[in-house]
Amino acid sequence: MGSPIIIDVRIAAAHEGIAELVVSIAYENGGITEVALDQIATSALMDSCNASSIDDVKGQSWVKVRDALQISYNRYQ
Amino acid sequence: MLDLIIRNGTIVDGTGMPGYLGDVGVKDGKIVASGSINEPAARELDARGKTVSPGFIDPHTHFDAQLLWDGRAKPAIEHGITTIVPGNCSLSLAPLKAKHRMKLVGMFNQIEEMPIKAFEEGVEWNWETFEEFLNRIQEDLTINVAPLVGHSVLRLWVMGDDSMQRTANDEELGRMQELLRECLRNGAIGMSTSFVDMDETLQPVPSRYADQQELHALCEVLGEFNRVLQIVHEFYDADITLARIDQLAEISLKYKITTTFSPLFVNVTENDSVNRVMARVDEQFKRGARVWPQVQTRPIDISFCFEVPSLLFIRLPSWYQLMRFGSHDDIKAAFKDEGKRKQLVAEAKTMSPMWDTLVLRQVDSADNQQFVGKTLAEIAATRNTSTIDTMIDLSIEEDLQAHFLSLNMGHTDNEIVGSLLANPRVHLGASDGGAHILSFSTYGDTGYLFSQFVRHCKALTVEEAVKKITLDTANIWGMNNRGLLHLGYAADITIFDAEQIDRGEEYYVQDVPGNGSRYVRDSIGIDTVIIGGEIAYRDGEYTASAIGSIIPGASCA
Repeated sequence: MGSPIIIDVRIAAAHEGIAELVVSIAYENGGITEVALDQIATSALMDSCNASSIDDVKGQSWVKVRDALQISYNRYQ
Repeated sequence: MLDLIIRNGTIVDGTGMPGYLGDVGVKDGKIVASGSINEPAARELDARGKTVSPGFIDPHTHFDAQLLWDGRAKPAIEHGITTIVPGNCSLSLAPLKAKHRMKLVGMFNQIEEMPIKAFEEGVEWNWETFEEFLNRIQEDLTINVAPLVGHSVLRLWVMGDDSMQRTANDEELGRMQELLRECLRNGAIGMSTSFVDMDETLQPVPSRYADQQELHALCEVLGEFNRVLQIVHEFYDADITLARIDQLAEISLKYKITTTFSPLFVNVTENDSVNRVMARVDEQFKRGARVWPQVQTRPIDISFCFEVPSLLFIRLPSWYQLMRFGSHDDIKAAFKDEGKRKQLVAEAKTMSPMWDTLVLRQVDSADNQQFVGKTLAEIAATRNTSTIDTMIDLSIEEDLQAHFLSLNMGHTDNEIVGSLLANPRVHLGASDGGAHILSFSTYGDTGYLFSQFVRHCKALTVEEAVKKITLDTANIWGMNNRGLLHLGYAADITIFDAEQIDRGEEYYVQDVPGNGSRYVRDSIGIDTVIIGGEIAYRDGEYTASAIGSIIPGASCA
């Protein structure tokens, strides 16, 4: 079974009134889910994808999103 | 002799049934007559041409601190609200040992943007227990309060600093259960918890260190009292949200309690996260669980200043790189450098329409105060320059502390939001009243419900909208004898003009202790608000005070 991949990114408004990045991830079976990334996670995602533009992250594995969220979560520990 | 009769209004009684012309009679704080009333009364109000409904209930607020210096929870009442639920998101101001006060103040400051100075100058700390806190706010309480007790403060009381280090042991679990029982006996309507919030040092709040055993132990106590569990879920992740719904459903079924999660909002229109969430909610309701998603009416705005990187600029590579990697001085230098500035302005023009509508939100300098609340287009016109240059100039003048607001950036698709609000399995709430006071106004969502989703989009009728924020809310939270204009119910009543009711423009006001400020909105079309049979607000003026109640109040359960 193939790894789920990022198929779309967009800016959205978070509950607290800050901008966040919503990443759409597609599974091999056709399912799609969405995860919102904050500033730190987005920066980590762009770095790990060597992305110069946010659209460059499209087509990348979901693992990069997971790792970016981990970096964001662990930033103060 | 009745105390009060409201005559000739259109009675929208909270059931969702069609409104009808009639009178409402009040005595001893309760509704005692309706229809055509021939008895005399000490006072009569003519509501001809107006709608008479039960008082609105706001189930998601953070007025905890404000109630210590403002028992009216201004401006909630003037928006038709007669009952608020504070203590959401794992945070309440009691029970709280003296030694933990500043720790909790830090959390309130971080999560709800309540200024520390407001606590220092507006709060006399003369309580520790939940009962003492309720006694304290009841000294001058005008609005009804149905308080949640926060899971984080229960942990803090029992475990101290360890509450932010580890799971609880059996002995601590037992003490937490007993403490929760004490709070519920003294008037808590339920318990709130959070799976996402951070404290002032950006560490997870205490509730996030709880394991399943702890959550279940506390929900077992909620079950003993038939009270509510409120949670903040991982709203940024659709799949985790589905898992939380399943978790809440199991808790609801096991302990026979109502659960509610917030917020659920629409920030992506092309995909179907909200549909997936609602499908799961439907599925769990069909099993007999009670898992209510809370949805707010107002759209979400994005605020930013150049001191902190914002993803709003992620599609502008030069801006994003500068904000992400540049220091404070680098950003100012780039703004001042003619060549770099030219490049930034040229790039920003690709998103041209957005800059015109940005609103200047906050500045420090006296000179620029005159521009606060104005759009960049308006400010640019007075300065005879472009909107992008105006944003840059203001940022230089304010040492990068000029705050801007991009309006209506999320939860804006009225068709989707309207159908969500009308969904019988959606709980209308999540206003956050009393929180985020320096970022945006959390007041006026009730008026916005009628202006936007009743009159403009026609997603709900007046009767359906009233039911959503009165009877439905009272039922979900187990507020007995509230939310209906029926005989024997509490005389919490809102009289409004259904053709006019709305929220006013947002503005900045300095009324927080410690010379603090906040954003508020006035109401439009609210005529009279009655709490416990007393007129609390009429024709733009606050009248009676100290008429509010604690709901459900102390019990022997």
